[in-house]
Amino acid sequence: MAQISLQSVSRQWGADYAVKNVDLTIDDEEFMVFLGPSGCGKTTTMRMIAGLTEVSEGSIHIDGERMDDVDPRDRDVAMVFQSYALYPTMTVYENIRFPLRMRDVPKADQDRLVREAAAMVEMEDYLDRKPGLLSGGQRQRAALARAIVRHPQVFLMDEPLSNLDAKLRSSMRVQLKRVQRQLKITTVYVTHDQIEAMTLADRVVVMNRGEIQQIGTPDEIYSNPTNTFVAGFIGSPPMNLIAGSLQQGRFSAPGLQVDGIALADGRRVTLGVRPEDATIATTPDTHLTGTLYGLEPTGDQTFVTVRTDEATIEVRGERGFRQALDTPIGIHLDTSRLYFFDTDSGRRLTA
Amino acid sequence: MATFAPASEPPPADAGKNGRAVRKPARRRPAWRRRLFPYLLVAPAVLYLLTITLYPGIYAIYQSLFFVRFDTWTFVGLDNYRELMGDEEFWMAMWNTVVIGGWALAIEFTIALTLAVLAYRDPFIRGWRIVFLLPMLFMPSAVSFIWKLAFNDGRVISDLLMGIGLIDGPLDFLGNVGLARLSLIVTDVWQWTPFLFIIFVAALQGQDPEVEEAARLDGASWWKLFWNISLPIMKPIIAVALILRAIDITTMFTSVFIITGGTPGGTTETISYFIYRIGFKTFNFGYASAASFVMLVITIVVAQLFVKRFFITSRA
Amino acid sequence: MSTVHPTTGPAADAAPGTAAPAPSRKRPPMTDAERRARKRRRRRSALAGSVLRYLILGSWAIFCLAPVVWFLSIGLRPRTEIITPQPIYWPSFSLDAWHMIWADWPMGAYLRNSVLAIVGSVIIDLALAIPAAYSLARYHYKGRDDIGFYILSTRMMAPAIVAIPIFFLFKNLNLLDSVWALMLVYAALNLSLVTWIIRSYMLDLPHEIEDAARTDGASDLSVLFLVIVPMCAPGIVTAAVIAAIFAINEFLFTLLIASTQNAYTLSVALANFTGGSDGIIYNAIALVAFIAFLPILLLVLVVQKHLSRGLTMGAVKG
Repeated sequence: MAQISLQSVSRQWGADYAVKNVDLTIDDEEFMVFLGPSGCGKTTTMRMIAGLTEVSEGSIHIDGERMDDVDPRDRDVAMVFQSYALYPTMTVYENIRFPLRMRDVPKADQDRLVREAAAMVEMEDYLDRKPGLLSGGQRQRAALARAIVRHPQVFLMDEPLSNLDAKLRSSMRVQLKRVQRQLKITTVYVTHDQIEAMTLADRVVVMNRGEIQQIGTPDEIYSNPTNTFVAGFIGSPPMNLIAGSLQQGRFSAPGLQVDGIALADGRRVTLGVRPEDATIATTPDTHLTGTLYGLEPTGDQTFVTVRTDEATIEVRGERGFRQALDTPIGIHLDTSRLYFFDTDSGRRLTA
Repeated sequence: MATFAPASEPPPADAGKNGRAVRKPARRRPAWRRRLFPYLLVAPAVLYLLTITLYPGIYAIYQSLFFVRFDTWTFVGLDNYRELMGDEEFWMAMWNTVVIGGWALAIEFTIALTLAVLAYRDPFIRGWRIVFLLPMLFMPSAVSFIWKLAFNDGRVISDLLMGIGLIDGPLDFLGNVGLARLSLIVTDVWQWTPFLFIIFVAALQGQDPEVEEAARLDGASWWKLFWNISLPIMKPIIAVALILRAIDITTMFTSVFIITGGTPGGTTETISYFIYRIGFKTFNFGYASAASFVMLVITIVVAQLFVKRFFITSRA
Repeated sequence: MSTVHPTTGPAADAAPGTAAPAPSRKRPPMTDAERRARKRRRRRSALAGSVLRYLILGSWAIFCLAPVVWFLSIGLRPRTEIITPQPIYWPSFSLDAWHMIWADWPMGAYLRNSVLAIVGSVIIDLALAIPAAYSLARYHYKGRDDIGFYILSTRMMAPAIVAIPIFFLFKNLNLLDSVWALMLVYAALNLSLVTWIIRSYMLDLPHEIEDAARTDGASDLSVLFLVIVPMCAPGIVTAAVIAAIFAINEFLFTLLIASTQNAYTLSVALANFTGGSDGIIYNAIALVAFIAFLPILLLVLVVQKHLSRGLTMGAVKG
């Protein structure tokens, strides 16, 4: 069982916390994604799991064993880096063989294992090349083979696809997931790209400023965000957040009014609604009125930006929708898919 | 696009070291051992260097308190230092070092900088580099002999000048103070200008060519370009190069030993030669040690003042 | 238009002969003749500038080459013609000197001593410097900068300062007049240089490679020798070459330590080429100078791209 458990893990730099109080359990064979903006602490947390960065407080267990004071080389984790980190003076074959050498795997087995790993990523024809002569995608695969070859307990991947071009990235995503499934290895994957997170993860850990914001399946993160940060980070285009107040079931903000909200009163409440859950009103039954600020036809739909006195919201419209700029427009919201947050703390308000 | 082949079966549960079921318990390394490691890496080098700095330093201080004649050591306290401070020859040696070294450095710097500015964008720069580098590739003792022959034993310089008609009779590069010092200066300049030259060229070539082009388009003449753009960029590099060269110049010994031997009358005796002569010609080791110690102190002061600032700060 | 008047900027407006009315800043358009004249001027001054430039560079090149060529000619002259009234001409060619240095002096011993001392000292230096450089480049610990500065400062130390104590040290250890003593001294003199050059190259290496090696299971020493060192090869070679050259050049210590052919290196052996009534035998000296010059030239050609970085111990790139 290669379960990873982090208990109250923190990483301090002087007085600042790069990572604060992370409590997290990653199940065996799970594909866990750490998601967040730059500097949120996701890479630092992963490096602490690897042992490359020391834990300031708390403890890390892999497969039940406490790992804090164990060197990276003894933790049986394999890492794939954003820049691939292949050894430039060695051939691909030597690169893949390196972890086996370091662990004194019997020579007789080394060759077989290297070739198997290379075959899995379809790099058998490149074994004699040095990394300098490979393309980005090929280097990525070589790095992956190097991680695979020793069948570790844990895969750690630090934004491995960010240096690839967009087309390659999407095909590599699919292949990465297949490899992980086949090898059944617990994986921690760090990214700032929410599409990658949503498509790859069994579960997602959303982080911001060193702290965990939410842990859940992609679906949960999307449909059930716990605070404004998660709500605003997931989804493209992002969720609209409008500040206002809630009184006796009615949420009001300049230009916006929604009734029938079953929540306690609050002076500072923020409404969240995704662009796809708002439509352009064709009947007088509108929740929000404002002026049309922008129109972006994308072929299959039109992104419509509407402005009220205080807020700007984006709505998904029909592909053929056209209207003159700066004219009044009404928006109808799907009241079953509204979210409410406390404006000051960002926390989600539930009944 | 890439598709991955189906994985091989993961190795059976009781496979060797790469199987999952068999894994040795993780080895723990105590934190103190981890902290000690970088010190251990650097220790051999440091210890080795201590034997040529700390040990001689202590030995020299100790010996300088004695009058040493072969194997007999007589304690004289600070007498050596007192004598040293009043010793004309000692101060002459210091002065010689400053004068000869100062002139040589100034001339080397000027020539090297001029040449570097003229040459660095030249299409034939590789050729220039090799030719200009030539003097630096000979052993200093060989170079000293070249110029010894040219100035003194072979009278080549004199003959050349007479041939052009600049002078009437042969010049005495050993008997005349100025000329003797000049011979040492020329020797040093010939051999070591290349040192500064390649460093300056590298610094100039390291400039962003687009900055230069922008300046040229803005109408800057080559002089303005150099003075306002190239020179400020080069300042730290010039400092480093000059410090290195200055330190080496103050240790001038080989050319003095081979060409002049300190003549005339000790006016070309550098401080290194002074120490050598006192120690190994008059065998007055205690006294020589005192002079060595004084030099050591000066070196430490200079190192603290200049080296620290320019070397450590240039690299994180 | 004369060449004296500036043709751009406000001064142009003040130049006599400009027909434009006062407040306008526009220059009257140039005629074709004016344009051609301007081009000719620019080309002429550029040519003059070029000529001057090549003159200066050329003069210094001659100044560098002339003594070398002349000294070579000295080496290839018979004994009797070294000091002649017209030494600039090349009267006759002879290999006298070559036979002489092998017959009358232990040239073989000189070469052997030089090679042993140099190779030995470079090996010692690399063995000590590589771990030290790694420690300085990649680890953070208290006192690191002070240790680094201490190592650097030994480069600044004049040989004369420690000459006497080192002499006595070897005397007491009975190591005078031995190649071992030379090896140890050269290593000590060059260690600082070698360490700092290698450190400079190590600093440039990407950190992720080390992380990769560590997670792949490499111990710290394995990381250093299997991953870092191969990647620093150019820096290590540069450091070794520069240390070798400084070792070949070393004079003071060698002079004090060596007294017989057991320890004389090429550098100091030059001072031995005297022969009683003949005085200093320059043709022999010249040949030996060239024998030492050739390997140094080859070594420098190998590392010439890294030369300025090496000589300034990493302070200057390129």
